[in-house]
Amino acid sequence: MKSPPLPFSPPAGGPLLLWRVLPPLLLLALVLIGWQVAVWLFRVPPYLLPGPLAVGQGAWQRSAMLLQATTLTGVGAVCGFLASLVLGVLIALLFAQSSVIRGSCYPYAIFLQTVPIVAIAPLVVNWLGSGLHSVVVISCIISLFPVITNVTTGLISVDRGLLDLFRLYRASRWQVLCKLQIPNAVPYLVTGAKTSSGLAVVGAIVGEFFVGYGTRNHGLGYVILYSGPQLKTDQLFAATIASAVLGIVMFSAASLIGRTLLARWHQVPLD
Amino acid sequence: MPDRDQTLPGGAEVQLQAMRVGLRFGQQPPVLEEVDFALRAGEFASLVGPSGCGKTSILRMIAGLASPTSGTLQVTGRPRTAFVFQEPNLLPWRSVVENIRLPLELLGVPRGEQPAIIERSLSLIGLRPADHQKYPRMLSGGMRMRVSLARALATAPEILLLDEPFAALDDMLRQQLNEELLRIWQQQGWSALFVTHNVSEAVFLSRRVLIMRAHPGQIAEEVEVPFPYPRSPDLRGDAHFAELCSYVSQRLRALAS
Repeated sequence: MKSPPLPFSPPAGGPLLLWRVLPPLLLLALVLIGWQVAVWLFRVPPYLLPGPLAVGQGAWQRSAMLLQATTLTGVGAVCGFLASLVLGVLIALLFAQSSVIRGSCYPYAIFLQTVPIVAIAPLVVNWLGSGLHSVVVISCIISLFPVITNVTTGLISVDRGLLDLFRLYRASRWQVLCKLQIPNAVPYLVTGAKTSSGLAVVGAIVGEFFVGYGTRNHGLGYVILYSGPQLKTDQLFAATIASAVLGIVMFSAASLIGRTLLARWHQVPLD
Repeated sequence: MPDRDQTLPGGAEVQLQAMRVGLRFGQQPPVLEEVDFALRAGEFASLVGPSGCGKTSILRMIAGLASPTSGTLQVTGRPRTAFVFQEPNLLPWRSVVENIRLPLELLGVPRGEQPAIIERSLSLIGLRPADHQKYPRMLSGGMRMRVSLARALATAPEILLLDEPFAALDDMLRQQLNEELLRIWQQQGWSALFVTHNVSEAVFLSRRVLIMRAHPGQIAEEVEVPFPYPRSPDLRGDAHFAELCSYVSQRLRALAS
């Protein structure tokens, strides 16, 4: 059976899970201990490099603020991610219609990927003003490209034999699209969504560098941007870690949903 | 229904006739040139020949997946053709039942009539009910090929085109599927054109074996197979059967040199 190539991860299970989780945790513990010891030994001032204990303490003290910021950024990133999925799939459906459309539009899709998002963000703010919607737009722009390319590839790279089968029964273009091309593109959509999920968080944080939600509500981007100049380095670290965790959560969610979506036919259940 | 078991196909009506059919792509040397043959209604015929002689191209032209660049391919009436490809070509995201449903959907068979048709073709090819909801990945190569055959039969074809369907299977399984194919053919009476590399398979199944030569592809010789249907598996041990197989092999070798 031919199926599109996908990074194939073995199913999670008891000893295997332990084997996968334990080594990175051990490495993390080693790095944290080394970091703490170095900070003590060389008496590094906390505004330059706080030790992990100080970062933890600072995070604990400002946990309410950090949680609120993470939630705000999370909402922006999730909305941007979902928007990029919808928009990306629609654009890919258009691209899949003809090589002429692909040829003429693709350079501009690449433009999306290569133009620095930091350069576009102020423009978006000028056009749309501040607020969540601008953050969502910026997050969507940066996470759009992987969805477009992956889904387009999935739609146009159908197996020749399967296409013959559809032609044999005089299938209409619409039938080929719905019954062959779209199902074929699902694994590719999952791959694109995994890449996009991480990028959406980056987009939301970059958006928050330029866009406020008002005077009382701040996202992680704002916290990161203003902790540095205020020498609240522990807070800077805590916010950075929070944004990384947010990205990991979104990636894991996308992977999990993707795996369930493909489970039926892409992986053989072990029994 | 005429008695198809004992008579040779001389009197039966012609279902399909190729007249000086040629196929070439651009300025390349022709794949097929001056191909002439006829397939009679209800006949089982095989095409054997070296790789690249255009056997598959002939099937594709009959199925409407390609058009001859010269000559004509005459089909009596507008018979429904089904194609069993070399690969099972099952949709990996559809279960066995849903795969067999596909051509019915594409041909616009009313939804209410589909389950009975699917049930019938599944029972023909002998797939256990436990396997009906499985996905292609969970099936063995032989099972996948059976499903592919069931899908072709579900459309009630008048002409069945088979392109080396059992080439990837081991010899035991191939022989077993050959016998089942003949049994279904005798029940249903479609005309079959069977492409294969395997001479013994061709002789066992067919009433006529069409031997091809390559560069350009042409029908070089027709060999009548006189054994009456139904044919038992014991036929393979018959001296006349072996003689005929060795004759066809010898002709193939002579044409290749």
